[in-house]
Amino acid sequence: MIVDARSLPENELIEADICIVGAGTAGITLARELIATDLKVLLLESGGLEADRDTQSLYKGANVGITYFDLDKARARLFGGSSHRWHIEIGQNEMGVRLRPFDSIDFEEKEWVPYSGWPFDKAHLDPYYDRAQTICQINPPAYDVAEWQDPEKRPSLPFVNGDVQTIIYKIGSRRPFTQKYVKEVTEAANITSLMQANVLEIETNETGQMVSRLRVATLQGNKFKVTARLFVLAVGGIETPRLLLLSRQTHANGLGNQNDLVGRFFMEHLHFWSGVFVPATSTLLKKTALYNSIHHVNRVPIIGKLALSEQVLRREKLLNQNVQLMPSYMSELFNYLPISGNAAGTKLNNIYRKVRGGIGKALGREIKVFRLANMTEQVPNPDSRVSLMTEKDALGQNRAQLDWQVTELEIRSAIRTQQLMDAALRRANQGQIHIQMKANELPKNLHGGYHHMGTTRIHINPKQGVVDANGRMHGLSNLYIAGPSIFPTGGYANPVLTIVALTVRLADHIKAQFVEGRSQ
Amino acid sequence: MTRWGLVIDLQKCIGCEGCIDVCKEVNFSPDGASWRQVFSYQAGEGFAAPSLSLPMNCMHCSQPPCLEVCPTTATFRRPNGIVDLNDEICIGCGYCVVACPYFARTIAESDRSLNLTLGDDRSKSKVGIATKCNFCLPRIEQGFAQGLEIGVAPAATPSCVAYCTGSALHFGDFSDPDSRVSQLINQNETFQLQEDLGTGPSVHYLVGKAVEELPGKEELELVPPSQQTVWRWPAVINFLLGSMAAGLYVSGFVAEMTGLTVSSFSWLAPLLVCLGFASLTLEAGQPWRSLNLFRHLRRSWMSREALAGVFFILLALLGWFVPHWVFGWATAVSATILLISQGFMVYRARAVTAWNTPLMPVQFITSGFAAGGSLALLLTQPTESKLLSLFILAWAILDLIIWLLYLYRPNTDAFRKATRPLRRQPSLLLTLWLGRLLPVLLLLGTAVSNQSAIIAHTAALLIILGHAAQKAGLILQAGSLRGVQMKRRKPLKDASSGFALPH
Repeated sequence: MIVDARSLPENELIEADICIVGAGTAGITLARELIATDLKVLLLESGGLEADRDTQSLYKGANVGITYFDLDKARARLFGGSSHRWHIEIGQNEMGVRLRPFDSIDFEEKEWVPYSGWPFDKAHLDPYYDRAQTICQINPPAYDVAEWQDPEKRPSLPFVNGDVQTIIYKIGSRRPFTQKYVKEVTEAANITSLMQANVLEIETNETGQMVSRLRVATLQGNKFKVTARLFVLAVGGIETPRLLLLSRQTHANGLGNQNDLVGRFFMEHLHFWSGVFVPATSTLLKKTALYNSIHHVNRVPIIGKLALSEQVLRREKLLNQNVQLMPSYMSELFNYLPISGNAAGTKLNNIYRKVRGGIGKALGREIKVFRLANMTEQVPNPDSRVSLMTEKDALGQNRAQLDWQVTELEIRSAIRTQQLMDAALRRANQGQIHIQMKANELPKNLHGGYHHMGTTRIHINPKQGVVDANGRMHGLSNLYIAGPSIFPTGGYANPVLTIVALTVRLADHIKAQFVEGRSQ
Repeated sequence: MTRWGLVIDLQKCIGCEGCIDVCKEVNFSPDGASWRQVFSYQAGEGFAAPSLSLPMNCMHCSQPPCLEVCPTTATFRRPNGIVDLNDEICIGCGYCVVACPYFARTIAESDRSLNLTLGDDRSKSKVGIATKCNFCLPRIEQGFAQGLEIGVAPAATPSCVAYCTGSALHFGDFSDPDSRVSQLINQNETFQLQEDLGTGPSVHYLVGKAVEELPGKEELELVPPSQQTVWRWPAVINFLLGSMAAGLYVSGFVAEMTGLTVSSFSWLAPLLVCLGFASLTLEAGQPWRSLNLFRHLRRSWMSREALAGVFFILLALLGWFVPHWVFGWATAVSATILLISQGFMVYRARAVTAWNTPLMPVQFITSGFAAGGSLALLLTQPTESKLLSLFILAWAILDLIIWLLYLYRPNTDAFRKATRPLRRQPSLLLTLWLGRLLPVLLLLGTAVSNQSAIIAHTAALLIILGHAAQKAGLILQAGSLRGVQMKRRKPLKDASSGFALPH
C-alpha cells in the first residue's frame, strides 16, 4: 500500500512492527524479504515513485576533500534510490551495474591495512551472496573463470599465472529495483510505503538504549511521528551518518557517536587510468574478447578483468584492486612519455595521431594497445569523513559535508600492481605495461563510482565500530543499519551485491528475532 | 513531414546528470566530448538559492548554424529533422563548434573513453572530428524495426529520455499534432533557447514552477559566456598571413601598374597563404581529409576561403612562370575573394558574439589591405614609394575608423562584454595607439618630412604589428561563446505565433 505522507493528519503517530527508512537498494531488498510475514512493515521514503527537484535538493552539500561529484549528483532520492543511476548498457534496452562479491581476503584483518577485518568471513556470507544473485537476477552463482570463458572465442589470457588472475564481473539490470520490486513492495499487504516522508530525528527512550520514535516531516510542512518495535536505517553512506549526527537528543555528538566514529572512514573505489598494456604479439589482441567488452554468457552479461591473487596481495602487502583492459591506439603511449602531461607531450601526441591517421588508413589497420582502467580499494581512514555543515536544508536540517581523502598506500598499491602485472607479462613474453602513475601523486583522472562506504562501520567492539556484527547499533537494542555504510573495508568490487547479501542476512536476523520474541 | 524533438520539463529535472552517463555509455562518446550537458543556474550564493538545472543537447535546429558553416558537408539534416554528422568526411576544423550557440559540438581530442563496448563497430575512431547528438538514431531505428512506437516505447526512444531519473524528457514528432510532445507544447507555456538567432530549435522547455520561482524569471542568462577553445594560434596565424598575403598581392599588383617595383611579392604572397594553411593542419583534427574542404562552396565561407586560397596560390605561381596580365588580374581577384571569405567566415561563427557582426568582413578587408600594403611598402625602394604610402594611408584611415566603430559604437551588453578585453590598455596600445593612430599620423607626416621614406617604413611596421595584435585579440581574447538566453514569450501571442512546422 502506498500512502502519501502529505495526506496525513498533523502530529499523527504511526505504529508498525518494523520501520525501514529509505527505499533504495537495501530498503527495497529488506522490505521484499518481509513480504507475506505477519509483521507490519512501514517503509519511509523521502521522495516518491518519481524524482522531484525539491526532494533531490535535500542532498546538496559541500565537498571539502579531494575533488568529488556534487553530493546531489552522486545519488538519487526517490523510490528505488540510486539504482536509478546504474548505467552500464547491457543490451535489450537495459542499464545495469557491475556485480561481484568481495574476495575472501577482503574480510580478513590485514596487518598492513589499519582498521581492516570483518567480524565474519566470506564463507559465512556466501549463502547470502547466492540469494543476492537471485535477487539481482544474475544466476548461476559461480564466478569461476572456467564457467564464463570460451576457450575458443573468449579464452582467459595466457600470461595469467599465479600472480595475476582473471576475475569475472556480472552486470545486473537496474530494472528489478526500479520497477519489478517497487511493484512487489508497494503492493504487499503487510507493507505500507509512506512517500514524501523525511526522517528528521531519531528519538530514544529515557535511558537512551532504545529508539522510541522517529520525527518525520514532509517538505510541505506536515509533521508526524513513527513508532515501531524495530528500526532499520537504509539511506546510504552519506545520509545515514548525517541522520545519526542530527539526532542529538541523547548524545550531543549524535546518536551512536560516543566514540566519534559516525561519518568517519568514508571509502570510495578509486577509479582512474593507470597505464597502457602493449601486447608483444598481434595474436594476443585477438584473444582479449573476454576482457574488452560486455557479452552475454548463459544470458548473463559479463566481463572479465584482471586482479592480483591473494598470495601476492599478502606477500606484497597491497590493497585489492582490479584492472580492466580498454582497447586503444598506440598513440596512447605518448601520454606516458617522460614529457607527458606538458604541452609538448600533447602536441607530439596530436602530431603522431595525425600521421597515424594517414598511414593507418593506407595500411588498412590500426595498431592497438590496451589502456588500463583501475578500481582500487581504499584504506579505512578516520580523516576521510562525512560531517555536518552549518548551512541547513529546506527541512531545517544541517547539510552533509564530505571530506574525501586518499592515502599513500592506495597510490603505492596501484603502482605496485601495475609493476607486478608488467613483470608477469614480460615473464610470459606477452608484452609490457607502461605505468602512468607517480608515487605520492593523485592520478589526474581520479574519480569515484558513487560508492559511499564505511561511515557507520561494523565492528564487534563498540569502541571501534558503530554497528555490531548483525548491523545493530552498539548501545541501542532496536536500531539497525543496512547498506554500504556498515562495510568496514570496501574491497574493489562494486558494493551492490554485498549490500544485497548483507541485507538478506539482516532480514533473516530480524525475522528470527521476532519469532523468538513471540515464542517467549 | 516528421520532425523529431524533445520537450524538457524543467520542474522534473533533478540535475543528477544521469543522462550524461547513459549518453556516454550508449553513444561511446570519447573523453572530453559530451553530447549532452546539464548546466546549473543559481540565483545567488549557497545551496538554498533558487536554482535551475538546464539539460542541453543538440537542438536539431530547422536552420542549423553548424550546417551552414560546415565546409565538408559532414553535417547534414535528415528529412526527419535530425541534424547528423558523417564521421567519415569531417576534418575536425572546429567551425561548427564556434557556430553552434548551444555548445552541442565538441572535437574529440582522443579515443579515450570509459565505456564498456557491447560491440566493436561502435568503438571506431572518432578522434579529431566533430561529434554531436543524433537523438540516438540507430537506437530509435532499431526499436522502430522491432515494431515499437518511437518516443513511446523506451527501446525506441533516445537513451537520455529512456533513462532519465526524473522522467523529465519527452521525445516525439512535432509534426504530429496528437503526439505527446505536441500536446505538451500546446497545453503549457514553453520557451526555446536563443530564439532570437532564428535557429528554430526542436527542443522546447516547459516553464513550470522551476522557472517561476527564479528571480527575474522573464528573461535570464541561464549559462554565462565562455571562451571558445577550438580556434587558437594556428587560426590566428592563418587569418594573419592570409589577409596580409591578399593585401600584399593586391597592393603590389596595383603598385606595379603605376610603375613601381615591389620585389618578390608575386611569390611571397602565395607562400604566406601556404604557411597560413599549413598552420591550420596543426589545428584540424583530420588534416589528411583536407580535400573535403571544397565540398560546401554553396554555403560555407570556409569552403570558399579554401578555394580562393588555392586559386590564389596556383594563379600566382602560374603568373610568376608565365608573366601575363590575365594571371595578374586573376590572382588579385582571388586574393580579394580570399580576404572577403576570411571576414565572412569569422562573421558566420554565430556562437561567438564578438565575431558575429557585419563589421567583421569590412574590418578584415580594411586591415588586410592596410597591412598587406605595408608589407609591400617594406619590399620597395624607399625613394619610390610615395604613391604606395598614399594607398596605405587611405586604407589605414578607413581601418582606424572601422576599428573605432567596432570597439566603441553603441551595441548590446553582450557584445560590449565580449569585446571588453580588446578595450584594455595593453590591447589598445598595440591595436589602436601604436598600430593604427600613430602610423596614420606618421604617414600624414611623410608629406612634409625630408625623412619620409624612413617614417613611412616605420609606419608600415607599426601597421603590421597592429594588424597582428588585432587578429590575435579578436580570435583568442574576444572569442567568447554566447551565453544561453531564456526569453519568455508573451503569453497572449503564444497561441497564435506558436511553433511553426516545416512542410
